Amino acid sequence: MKFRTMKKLLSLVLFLSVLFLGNSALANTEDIASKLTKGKWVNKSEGYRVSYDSDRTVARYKAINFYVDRTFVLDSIKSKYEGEWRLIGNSIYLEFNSSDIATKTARIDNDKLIVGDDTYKPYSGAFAGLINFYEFTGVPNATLGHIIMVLVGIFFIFLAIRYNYEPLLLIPIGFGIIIGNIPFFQAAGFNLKLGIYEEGSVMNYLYFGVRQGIYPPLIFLGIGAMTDFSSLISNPKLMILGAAAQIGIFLTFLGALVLGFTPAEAGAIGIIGGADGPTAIFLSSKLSPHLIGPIAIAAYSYMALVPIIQPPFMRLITSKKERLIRMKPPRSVSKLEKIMFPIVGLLLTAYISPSALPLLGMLFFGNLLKESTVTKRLADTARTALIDIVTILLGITVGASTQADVFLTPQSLMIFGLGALSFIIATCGGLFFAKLMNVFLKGDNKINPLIGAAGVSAVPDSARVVQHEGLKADPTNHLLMHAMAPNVSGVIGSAVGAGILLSFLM
Amino acid sequence: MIPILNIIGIDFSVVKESGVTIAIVGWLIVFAALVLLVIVFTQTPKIIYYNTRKKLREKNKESKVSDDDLQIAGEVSAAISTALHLFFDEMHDEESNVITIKRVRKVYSPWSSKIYGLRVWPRK
Repeated sequence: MKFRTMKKLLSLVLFLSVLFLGNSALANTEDIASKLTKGKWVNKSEGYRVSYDSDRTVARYKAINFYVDRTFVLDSIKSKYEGEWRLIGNSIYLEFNSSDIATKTARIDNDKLIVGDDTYKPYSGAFAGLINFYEFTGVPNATLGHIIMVLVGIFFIFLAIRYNYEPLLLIPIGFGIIIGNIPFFQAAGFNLKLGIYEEGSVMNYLYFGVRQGIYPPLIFLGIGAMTDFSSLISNPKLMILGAAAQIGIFLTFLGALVLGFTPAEAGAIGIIGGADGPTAIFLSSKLSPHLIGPIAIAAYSYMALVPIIQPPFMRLITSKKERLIRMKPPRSVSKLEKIMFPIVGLLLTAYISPSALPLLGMLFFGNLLKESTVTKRLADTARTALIDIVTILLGITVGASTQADVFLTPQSLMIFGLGALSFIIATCGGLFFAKLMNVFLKGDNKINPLIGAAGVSAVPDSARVVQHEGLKADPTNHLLMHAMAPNVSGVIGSAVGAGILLSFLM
Repeated sequence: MIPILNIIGIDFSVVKESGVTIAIVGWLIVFAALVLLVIVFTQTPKIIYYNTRKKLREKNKESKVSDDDLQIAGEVSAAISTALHLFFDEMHDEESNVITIKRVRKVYSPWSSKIYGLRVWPRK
């Protein structure tokens, strides 16, 4: 009797404990389910590459949203993955709709969701939205490089406004640098169509003109339409100074080879010595498109810094007596000669260097529009509206191409160093050659060697520097007209040089 | 010099092969192109002014005509154009200073006549 009662009591206790345990297990499962479906689970992991071309990695967020109907959405940078979740005991099974992704097991530990190696923290939907917004702002994506480049852009704008150094170029380039270095969300395989290097973005479309070398010939058309070659035609021997200064291109080419650049890259870097922005862009777009940004920035910034770079070397190489030389006033040039120059000039130079045809063709065509005097409207458009539009587009896109992660490399620093050297070599080459010419010239025909420095084709800055230095030596000696001759022949010379490098290296 | 640079890691062997050739030939071609232009444009005025020179030689009965006889220096052209500009610019100042008032008489036309206005009833 006693034993039977004991047995019943034991069965009852056993039944009750099973019931209790089962009930508490059920309660635990419901608790996990309610935790899962409340808000979003957000993970932040390092190691995401910003682009396929860059090795830089950044931290990125991904979120899982569990729904009561047992479905879930995993929102990662590239795409959304959907699937169904199941709870067995404490384990959560994530079965993805895509057959490519295997089922994953997750668990909740200390209010954190652990999925494989990733840990997700629970946030309310609104807070997860804020995190998402924050991730797309510039703040989390900014790097030291971006800040440095923005400061460089501001410095360019400062130089242009404060010192009037090539403002038409430095303002668009400086602002372009700021635009290109506004940090934004980047990830390999993810295209927001914002940055200049992201296919389909507006900036990318505008940059097409730089990449394909479309803008430089249009700039040359405008230069041709605004250049008066009469100083060159009246004293043709000064044209040789434009050729002498091109030594900067070829010595820099050798220097770049020595520093380990490939021949094509070295050619593109060497053209910085031509001191001609459009030519530098044209050649680098053909020979080494990946270096367009640093080459263009180096070329344009050194062009703007011509008033600082050239004078010390001009004073060093020439004596006071030489700087006082007065040159014979240029003769007046007939209309026929002016019309002949673009036609004969094109035929001669383009036959020698056909690779420079887009540049030379447009330069001489623009000049013919001007000198023919019957196409005034076309010449006016080429030298005003057209060149202004292209300068804006070229400046802003070249500036924006200096996106920190692409631009700030040791290669860029080397290019800047070589660029400075090439400007110095070109200046010295022109000055020495002018001195050499004076050995053979007599009497009135002697030239002021200062004008040799104008052989670098930074038009009209280097001619203006020559005038300034000439006036310092003798306030009544105006060299501007004479300096314009080597200056514009430098434009022709650098275009021919670019064509030669193109045909040798492409 | 070169061994020293080689020690610090600058390799000149890369330049030796084709680099120097490209540099020298390239520079010479640039020179050649511009020297050709120099030659052409030094000779062009001689061809253009050949006839004028010939006529002057016959007229003055001289064996040689200097360039100064054919061309005007840029400075002289600038002086002439400045003088012309100033002359034409100041021309309006040289007026007769006679102020006249002329009575304006309009030729009669029935189109502008006030007699045949729309406010006047047509006579039957």
